[in-house]
Amino acid sequence: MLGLSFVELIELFIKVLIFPGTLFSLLFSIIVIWFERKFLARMHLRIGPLHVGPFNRLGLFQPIADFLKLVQKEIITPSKANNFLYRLMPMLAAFLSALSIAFIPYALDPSGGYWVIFYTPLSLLVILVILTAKPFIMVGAGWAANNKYCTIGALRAAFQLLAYEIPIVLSLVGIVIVARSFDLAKIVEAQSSVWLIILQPIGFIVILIGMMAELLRRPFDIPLAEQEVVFGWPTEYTGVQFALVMVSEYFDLCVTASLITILFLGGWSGPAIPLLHDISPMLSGIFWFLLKMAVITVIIIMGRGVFPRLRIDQLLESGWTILIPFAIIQILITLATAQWWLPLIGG
Amino acid sequence: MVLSILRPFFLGLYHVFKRTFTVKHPYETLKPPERHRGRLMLNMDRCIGCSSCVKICPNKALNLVEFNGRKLPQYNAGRCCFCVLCVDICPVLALSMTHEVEYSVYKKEDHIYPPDRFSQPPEPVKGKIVTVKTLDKKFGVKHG
Amino acid sequence: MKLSMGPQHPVTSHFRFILDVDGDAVLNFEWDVGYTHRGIEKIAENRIYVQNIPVVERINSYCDSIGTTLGYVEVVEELMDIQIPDRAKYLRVIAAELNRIASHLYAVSLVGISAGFETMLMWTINDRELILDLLVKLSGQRITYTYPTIGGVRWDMPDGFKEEALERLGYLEKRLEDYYRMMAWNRTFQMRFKNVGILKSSDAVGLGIVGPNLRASGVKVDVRKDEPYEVYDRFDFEVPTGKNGDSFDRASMRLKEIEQSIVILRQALKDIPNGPIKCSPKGSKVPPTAPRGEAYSRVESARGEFGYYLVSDGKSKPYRLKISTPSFRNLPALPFLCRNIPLGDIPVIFITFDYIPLDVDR
Ligand code: SF4
Ligand code: SF4
Repeated sequence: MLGLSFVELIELFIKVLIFPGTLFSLLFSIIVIWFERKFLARMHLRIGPLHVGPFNRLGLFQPIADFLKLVQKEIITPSKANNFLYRLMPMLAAFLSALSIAFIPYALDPSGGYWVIFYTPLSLLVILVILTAKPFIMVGAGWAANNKYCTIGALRAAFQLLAYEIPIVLSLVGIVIVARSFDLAKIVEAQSSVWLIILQPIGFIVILIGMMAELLRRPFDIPLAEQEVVFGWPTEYTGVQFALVMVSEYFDLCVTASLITILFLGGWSGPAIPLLHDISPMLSGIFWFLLKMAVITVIIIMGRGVFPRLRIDQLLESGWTILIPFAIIQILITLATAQWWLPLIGG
Repeated sequence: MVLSILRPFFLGLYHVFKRTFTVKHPYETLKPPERHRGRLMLNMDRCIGCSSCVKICPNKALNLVEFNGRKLPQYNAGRCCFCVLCVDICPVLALSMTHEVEYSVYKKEDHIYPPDRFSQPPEPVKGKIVTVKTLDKKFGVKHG
Repeated sequence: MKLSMGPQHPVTSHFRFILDVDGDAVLNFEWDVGYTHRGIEKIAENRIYVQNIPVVERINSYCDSIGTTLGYVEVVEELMDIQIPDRAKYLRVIAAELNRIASHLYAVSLVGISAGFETMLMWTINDRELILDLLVKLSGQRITYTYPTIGGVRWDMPDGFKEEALERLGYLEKRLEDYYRMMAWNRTFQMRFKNVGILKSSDAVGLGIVGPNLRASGVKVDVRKDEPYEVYDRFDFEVPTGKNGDSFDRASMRLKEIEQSIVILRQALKDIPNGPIKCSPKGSKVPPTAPRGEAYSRVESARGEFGYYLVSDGKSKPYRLKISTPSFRNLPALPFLCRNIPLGDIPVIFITFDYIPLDVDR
C-alpha cells in the first residue's frame, strides 16, 4: 500500500492524526483561545473564563464549550447570498490553513530524516503559496455574502494581505541566502551554531509585524474592525461556519508561530533535557520547539491588549514605505557581511 | 518613538500580574451602603392610607388598594424608578428602601406587589459580603 | 454605495448614519436621530415641580445626571426665589464633580473602544466603579441619583465619606498616569487620533459647539468660571484647553478635566461648612407652586452646557420647560467633519465628541 512498510504506515498515521497533524493543531487552537482570553482578561484586570473545566475557576474547557454551542446553532444563509461560494469558503479556509502544517518539520526523526508529514525540499515555497491563496478566500466569502460590510471588509483584507506579503517574501530572501535552501529543515540545520534572529534582527521584526498583519491580529485587524465594518468578511457566518473561520484563524497562528520558530529561533535545536532526552532525543527537540512557539504566540497575542487598531491607509503606507525598505536593507546587509557570518553557519 | 511603542507593551504585561478587580458576584457580594436603594418595603402597621405617596410618585408605581378592609398602597416594581420621593413624603415613615436588587421575574404581573407581599422583608443575600479593602496602585484593588 | 450605519451597529448606539462610501472613503454624511425620543419636555408639563427631578434626570441618565438635575433645580429655585444653605451648595458641587469624573472616565473608555482598544475600556470602567461607589454612599444610587432637590440636597454626607473620597481620589490620580502611558503617549493611539477631525476654533464657535469639545479647539469657555453657579467661584482651578482641536485633543481633554475635578473636590471636601442641607427640614418652606414668570439657568455638565428655560403660569406644574442639551448642540460638527475621510475615522470622530443619544433626542 503506497509502497510503505507497516512501520512507516504507523508513523504516518501518528504524524497525521497526532503530533503535527490534527490533534496537535486542534489542541493548540483550544489552548491558545483559552490562553488569549485568560491573558487578556488579566491585562484588563478581569478574571476571564471561570466555570467550565476541571480545575476550580480556571475555565479550561471554555473554548470546547463555545465550539459545542456553535455547532448546535442553525446555519443561516442570507437570502441574496451566492449559496455555493458562501458555503464553500469557510471549509476552504480551514482546509488551506491546516494544509500548511503538513510541510512543517517539528523535530529530528530518531531513525533519520525529519518529523514532518510530507517532506519536500521546497517546503518554504509551498507554505508561501498557501499563504498567498488566503486573500482569495476572504474576497470570495465577502463577495458571496452580498452584504455591504462584508464586501468592504473583504476588500480591506485583500489590500492588507497583498501589501504585507511582499515584505515577508523579501525578508525570507535573506534567510534563503543564508541557508542556501528552501527546505525548512535545512534552514534549521544552518542555525546550529547561531540563531538567525541574531544575524538578521531587522528581518525578524519585519516578519513578525508582517505575520501579525497576515493573521489580522489587533493593531492590524482592520478587515475585522468591529467599530467600522461590524465583523468584516465573516459577518454573516453563523454556527459551524463561523467556528470553521475561527479555527482557520488559529491554525494560521499555529503555522505562523512554527514558521517564525523555524526561521529565526533555530527550530528544535537546544540543549538536551535530561528526562525527555533519555526517552527519545526527539522529545527534547519537540519541547524546545513548543517553548519557542509559545513565546512567539504570546507576543503576537499581546498586540491585542496594548495597541489600538490602525487605519487602512496608515497600514498600507507603513507596509510599503517602512517594511519593504527595511526588508531590502536586511538583504543588503546580509550580502555585504557575508564573510563574517559564513564561518558561523559552517559554509 | 520606540519607547512609545514598547512602554504600553511592558505596562500591559505588568498588569497581567496585578490583582483582578472583579467581584465574583454569586459567591461574593459588594456590601450595600446604608442608603443603597433597592426594592421598596411597606410597614403595614404604620401606614394610615393617606395616599400622599401615591400622589407624589412620578411614575404611578404606587396605587391604593383595598386590603383586609384597609386602604394600603400596592407597589409595581416594574414601574418604579427608585427616586425615593415616596419615602421622603410619607408622614408616618411607613415606607422604606431595602437592599434587595435581585427581584427580576419572568412575567410582568409578578412585578406587582400587593400590600402583604409589599411588606415582606427581602431574603438575605447569599455569598460572602465584601468591600474594597485596599487601594494600591502597585498591586491593584483588593476586595475582602 | 449607500451605507446605513446603525441604529444596530457596534458603535453608533442609537444613531443612524447614512453614509455615501466609495471603497473606504466617506463622501457624504447624514445623521438620522430620534430613535430614543421620549418627549421629556412634554412630560415635564404634566408633573409637579418636585416630580420633574427624576424625569429630567432621564435626559442624561447613565452619564451625568447630577449635572442635568442641577440645572433644573436651579431654574426652579431662581423662579421661586429660594436661597439654599452653604453646605447644600458644597454638597452639590461635590456630587457634580464626582459625577463629572465618572462621566469622563466613561467617555475615555469609549474613546478607547472606538479604535478597538479594549484595555482602556476595562481599566476606566473599573476605576469608574470606585467613584460610583462613593456616589452610592452619598445618594444611594449608581447612576440616577435624584440628589439635588428644590431647596438643597436630599442627604448629608455619611460618616467617613470625606476620608474615603480623598483616598479614592488619590488612587485615581495615580491611575491617571497609567492612562497617559497606555493611551495618550501610545504611538499607535497618537497615529490614530492625531490630525483626525480637526475642528478649528473659528469653526467650533460658528457651529455652536459646547463643553470640552469647544475647549479642545482652544476656546476657553466654561460656565463654572464665566458665570459661576453654586460655589464654583470659591475654588481655585484651571480650565484646560487644547491646541489643535483634533480627536486627540478632545480625548485627552477628558483626562485633563478629571485632574481639575480632583483639584476642585479636594478643596470642596476641605472647606465644606457645617449647617443645614435644605432650606428647612421636610421642605415645608419650599412653596408648592412657582410664581408667574420665567427663568433661565446654565450649568456646565460633563458634556457641556445645559440650559433650562422655565415658564410658569402660577400653577403647580410648569407651563413650559425648554431644555437645551449639549449633545444636541454638538451635533452639527459631525456632518461638518465627516466628509471626504476614510471610513475608519467615523467612529473616532463620533466617539471623541462624546455624544449621548438620550440627550440628543430628549
Ligand atoms: S421610589 Fe419613586 S418611582 Fe418608586 S414608588 Fe417611590 S415615588 Fe414611585
Ligand atoms: S405609605 Fe405612607 S404616604 Fe403612603 S399611604 Fe401609607 S402612610 Fe400614606
